[in-house]
Amino acid sequence: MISSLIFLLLWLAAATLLITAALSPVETLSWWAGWTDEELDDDRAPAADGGAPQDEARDETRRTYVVYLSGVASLTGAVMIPRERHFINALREACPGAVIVDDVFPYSPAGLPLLASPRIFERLWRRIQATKLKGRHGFLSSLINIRNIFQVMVSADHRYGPIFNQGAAGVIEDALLRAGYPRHGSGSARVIIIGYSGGAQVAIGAAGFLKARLGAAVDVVSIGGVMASDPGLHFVRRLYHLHGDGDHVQHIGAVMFPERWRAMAHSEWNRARREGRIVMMRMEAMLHAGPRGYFGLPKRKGVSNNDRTLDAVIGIIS
Amino acid sequence: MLSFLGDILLFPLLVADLATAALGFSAEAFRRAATSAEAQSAALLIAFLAGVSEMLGQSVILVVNRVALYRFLASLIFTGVTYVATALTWAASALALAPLTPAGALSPAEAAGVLGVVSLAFAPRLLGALSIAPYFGIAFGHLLEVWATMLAIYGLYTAVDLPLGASIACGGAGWIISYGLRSFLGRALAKPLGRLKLMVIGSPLDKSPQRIIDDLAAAIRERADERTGRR
Repeated sequence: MISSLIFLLLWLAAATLLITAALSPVETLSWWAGWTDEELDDDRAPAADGGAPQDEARDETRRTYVVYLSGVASLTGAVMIPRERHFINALREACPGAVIVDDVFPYSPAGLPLLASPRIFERLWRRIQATKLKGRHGFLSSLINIRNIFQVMVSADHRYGPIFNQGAAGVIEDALLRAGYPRHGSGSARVIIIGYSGGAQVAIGAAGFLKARLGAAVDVVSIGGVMASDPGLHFVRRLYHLHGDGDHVQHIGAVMFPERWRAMAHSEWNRARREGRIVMMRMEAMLHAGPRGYFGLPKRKGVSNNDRTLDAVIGIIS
Repeated sequence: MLSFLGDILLFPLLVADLATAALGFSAEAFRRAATSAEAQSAALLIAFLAGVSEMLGQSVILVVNRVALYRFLASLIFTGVTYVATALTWAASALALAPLTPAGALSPAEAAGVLGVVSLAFAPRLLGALSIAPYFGIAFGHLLEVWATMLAIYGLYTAVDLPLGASIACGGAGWIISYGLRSFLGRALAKPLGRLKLMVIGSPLDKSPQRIIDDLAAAIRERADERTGRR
């Protein structure tokens, strides 16, 4: 009796997961087809003429723009967990010459946060956020991760990736222009996208489209990134992959996406590796998330993981 | 009148019942598809719905080309009809091959049975819509194709009583011939079929995800050339 109940539950879980997976590209497809309210403007020049030119004179002096894309636990670009917020604030202080953009939600082609309207499950996401804010991380919280992991797979898929990543590039471009990116300046400022966990896949996917739109060189910093061998890698000037030696999650990408296997010599990943455009940076004794993760605040031998990750990123930016 | 309405209402249940049974390699389901005219109609509907479902799974190509919603729906029906045509070709190929096997030539009643069995074998492709799932969806689609071919062989073996070798020959070769023929006809009739497709879908479907990447590379090259020219 109990075994058949367990079997039934497992079967239901598998079926739910399969249906959720099948529905995951729908947002990207309907956005691209223009079936949603968010009409696509293919030749967009979003804020090129109207967006935030007030700071342009100041920003002309700033030659580096850093965009931060959060991990798969993210609900919106506006809210971060305290550890991540600490990291971003410290980065801002340490790099006064760089503009840090941290309000991008990378798991939607239109940049629509999960808490935004109109979304079918908006109420559910709000309830989950309330639970998270109370410090409870149960099954409901993992629903966000599952939802966003599927969006990472959409970004990595050769069928949907070019569409999704084009949308993500548009969202990043809008955020850069709002932050005063000198689109019409003398030469293009350097763009660095920092992607944590699944955000790294979106970063490499969007990099090519961003390069075409802004005419800027794009570097990507992956912090424990779960990445596929994306065609976007071809357009990334350099990918710095910070990987903790206790982080098994980032390793999933290397195993799960066959084109990252060494046997696939002609894949984008292996080509970029041969060309020396992928720089692997080992982070000692770091896990993927939590207090012992890349943004962990507890100190060990006087230094926290957050500080060590920060030092590595500052080294790349400067 | 009432019994007619009852039959109409019960028909979807028959379709669902047959499809679920076929998925689990039920010999009884294939025997029904081989002998009952009603089950044969249900099996043909399964082939049609399998086409609709598969097109849903591959809808990315329609969406990439920004096909209007009503044309999207029309293309689903178009693919469904194509699948029924594929089932007919498959069955005809199996019938044409049968005299070359120890089973010998099949009677007209058996011919209808072969069509029912082959159509019912399309049941796994009812799950074709799930191949829309990112990254692993394509592999899932291939799995369904293998599953459907195995069902056709199993159905011919259990329901039409063909010897195992003849079932494999008729099922497997029938599959190869019908798909080969479709590909040959696709090339030979490319122009009229293209016109028909254009009429239904309203787009030549010339944009693909790969084309988006190629356009991107071209745009970056163009920009780099412009810069070099400026210098």
